[in-house]
Parts: sequence; C-alpha cells; structure tokens
Amino acid sequence: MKAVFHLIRGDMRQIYRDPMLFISMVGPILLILLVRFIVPFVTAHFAIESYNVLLASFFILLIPLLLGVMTGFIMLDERDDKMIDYFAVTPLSKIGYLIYRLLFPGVLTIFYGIVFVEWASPESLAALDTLLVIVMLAMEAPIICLCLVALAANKIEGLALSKGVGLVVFVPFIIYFVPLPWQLVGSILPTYWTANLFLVGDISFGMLLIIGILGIFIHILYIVFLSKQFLRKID
Amino acid sequence: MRFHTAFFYDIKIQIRHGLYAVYILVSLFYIIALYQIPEQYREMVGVFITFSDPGVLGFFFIGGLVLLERNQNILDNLFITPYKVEEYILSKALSLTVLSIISSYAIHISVFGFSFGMILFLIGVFLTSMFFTIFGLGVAVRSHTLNGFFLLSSSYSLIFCLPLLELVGIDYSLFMLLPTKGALLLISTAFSPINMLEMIYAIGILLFWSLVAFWWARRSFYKMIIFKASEGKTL
Repeated sequence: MKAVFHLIRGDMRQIYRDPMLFISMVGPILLILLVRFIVPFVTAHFAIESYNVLLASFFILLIPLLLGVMTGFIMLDERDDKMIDYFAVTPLSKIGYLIYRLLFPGVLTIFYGIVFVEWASPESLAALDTLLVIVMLAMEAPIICLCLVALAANKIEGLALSKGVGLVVFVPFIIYFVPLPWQLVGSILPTYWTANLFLVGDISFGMLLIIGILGIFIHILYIVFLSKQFLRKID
Repeated sequence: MRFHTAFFYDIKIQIRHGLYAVYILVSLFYIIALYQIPEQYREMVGVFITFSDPGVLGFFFIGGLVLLERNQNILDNLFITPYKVEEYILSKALSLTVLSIISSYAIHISVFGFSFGMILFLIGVFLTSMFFTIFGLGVAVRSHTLNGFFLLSSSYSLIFCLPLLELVGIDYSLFMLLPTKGALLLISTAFSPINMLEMIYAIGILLFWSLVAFWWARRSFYKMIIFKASEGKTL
C-alpha cells in the first residue's frame, strides 16, 4: 500500500511540475464538475433554472478558451525563447510545429467537449447538434491560441490579448438577450455559432444544416487567416 | 530622478504592448455588463468586479513583464547599474497600479456616478493593486514559463480569495487576517460608509500585507535573479 502511495505521490508531483499537463487535466475537469453539480444547485437557489442552458452554452466555451490560451502561452514562450527557429530547421519544420501544437488543444477539446455535452450539460442535444458543436469547439481552441501568437509580438502583448480574446466567451449572452437582427453583429465571431446551436431550440433540419455549415466555414476562415499571419510572423 | 525615468518607462512599455488598449475594451465590457444586472445586485457585483479585475490586473500582467525582461537578459544588465531591486519592484507595482486605478475609476463613475466614498474606494484599489502586483512579482521570479507562473500564482493566491465568499454570505472572522478582507471593505465604501475603526483596520491590514509581500518579493528576487538559484528548473 505504502509503495503505491509513493508512486501516486511521485506521479502527482510530476504532473504538477509540468504546468501544461496540470492545467489541461485539472482545468476542464473542474469546469465540467462545476456545471454538473454546482451550477444547478446555485440556479435552483436563486430560482433562475431557466438560465441553465444559457450558462451551459457559456461554460462549454471556457474549455477551448482555457486550452487555447494555455497552448498560446506555450507558443509565446517558445517564440520569445527563439525555440521555434530551432524546430524550423529540424524535419518537423515550422508548419509541422504549428500543426502539432494546434492539434493538442483541439483533440483535448473534443474529448472534454463530449464529456461536457453528454454528461454535464443540463439539456441533452440531438446527435447532429452534438457533432456540430464538438467540431466547432475543437476548432475554437486552435483559433484562440492562434489569435494570441499571430497578433502578439511577445508574451506581454499575448497576455493583454488573452484578456481581450477571452471576452468572446460572453457571446451566448448576446444571443440570449439581444433580439435577432441586432445579435447578428456577433456572427463574425466563431463562438456565436457554437452557442447558437445550444440556444436556438427546436429548428428545422435545413436551418440546422445552414447554421452548421456557416459556422464551420467561419471557423476554418479564422484558422487559415491566423495561421498564415503566424507563419509570416516567425519567418 | 532615476525612479521617475523607470516609472514612466514602465508605463510607456505597458501602453506600447497594448495593456491600456485592452483595458479600454475590458472596462467597456464591464460597464455594459453591469448595466444589464438587476439593480439590487449591481453594487455587490460592482465590488466583486472591481476587486477581481482592475484591482488585481497587476498580478496577471507582472508575470509576463518579468519573464520577458529576464528572457531578454535585461535583468542581468540592469542591476550592474546603480538601479536598485527595491526601485525595480516599486516601479513595476506603481506603474501597473496606475492602470488599475484608471480602469476601476472609469467603470465606477460610468455605472454608479460620483459618490462620497470615492477617495477610500480609490485608496482601496491602490493598496489592493500594490499588494497583489508585488506578490505576483515574487511568484514571477520563481517561474520560467507563463503557464508555470499562472499555475504557481493561482495556487499561492487561493487563500487570498477566501474572503470573496462573504459576497455569497459565507463569512468567518479569521478572514479578517487576510488583505482581501480589507480590500473588499475599502472598495465597498463607495456604496456603504464604514466607521473610523474599520477604515484603520482595512488600510492597516493591506499596508501590513503589502510590506510582507515587498519583503518576500525582494528576497525572492535576490535569490532567484541575482544569485540565480532557480536556473535549470523548468516550471
């Protein structure tokens, strides 16, 4: 028993020593537990259960935000340390480096996103909705990460940007409280489309498809544009 | 004279790297958000926001500022000059506090208008920001990456968040020992006046903790930067 305990302690220390591992494991899990157990309790206390879906559509956006910002910080550190120049001359190449870095938060977001939608969310989504939400979420983590590294010149600017970029997670509140023609202002933001799938309620299959295709298109646009910007910056 | 130059240079750097720009955006966001909140909760949320964002923004940014300067080997060269570590710490803390004060003042008067407790409110923001920025600096010199900084700083600062529980009605007299209690007391003077004793307590506890933080940050700085105790570690 004691031997096992030592192993666990060693592993915990290892996880803690690598901030990336620690944040990417503990952060989303805490978030999911919060939505599953604490949010329903609090909304019941204040008799505002009708906001449960709104809150879920907000909290789910925090998963790609957290993972994206964390990866962005890693890349900012690596660029400030001139590490990317070293990666660039290895067989990995700059593009390989970029893809590797962006895949990490993307894949993790898929995993946590599924757990969130299937287990923690107060309202279950239809299969196609879930698929679309997960696909878009998985692209949002790289987008947030790219925003930091493509637009910032160093880690201070990256920190400042992370504050600004973080505001996109409040888009669900715009969808919820601002009436239709006006809320379309938010539609240039990727998160608008993800949150929309949570909040539109019952719509026709055709409408759902339109939201899905438009949403995915906008996400891809962001990734392509920001990736180009980033690659140009490290040249 | 030397201090003046350093102080204004720090502010210039912060403006150039977009901290002020991003805080215009963030403050605007809070102003709009506060107007959406039902009037009976608005003051409470106002206190919470002032404390948790503009109040401690220095804590958030100091990590990036110190890591970047260390990374560019500015720190090694800086302290061969007559410039003192104490001046460095104070200049960083004061310059970030300027942004704290401007931002919380702007949010406050836009949402709540002018009020009698304004001076104490601003003293509260000033002392809160000084404490957290100096404390953050002590954490920053121990970290080597942004994620490491945020992981360390959030675990170090968890205990200081405890008094925030009073906003949802949980209060222990032991919280009186923490600077956050004094900070919340002073920041809430904008809405509910406090008596002389409370004022002396609040200012006293914040000053006391700021001095402790200063002593600790100075020691950490000597140990980690001047004597390089942390070289080779990766967090």
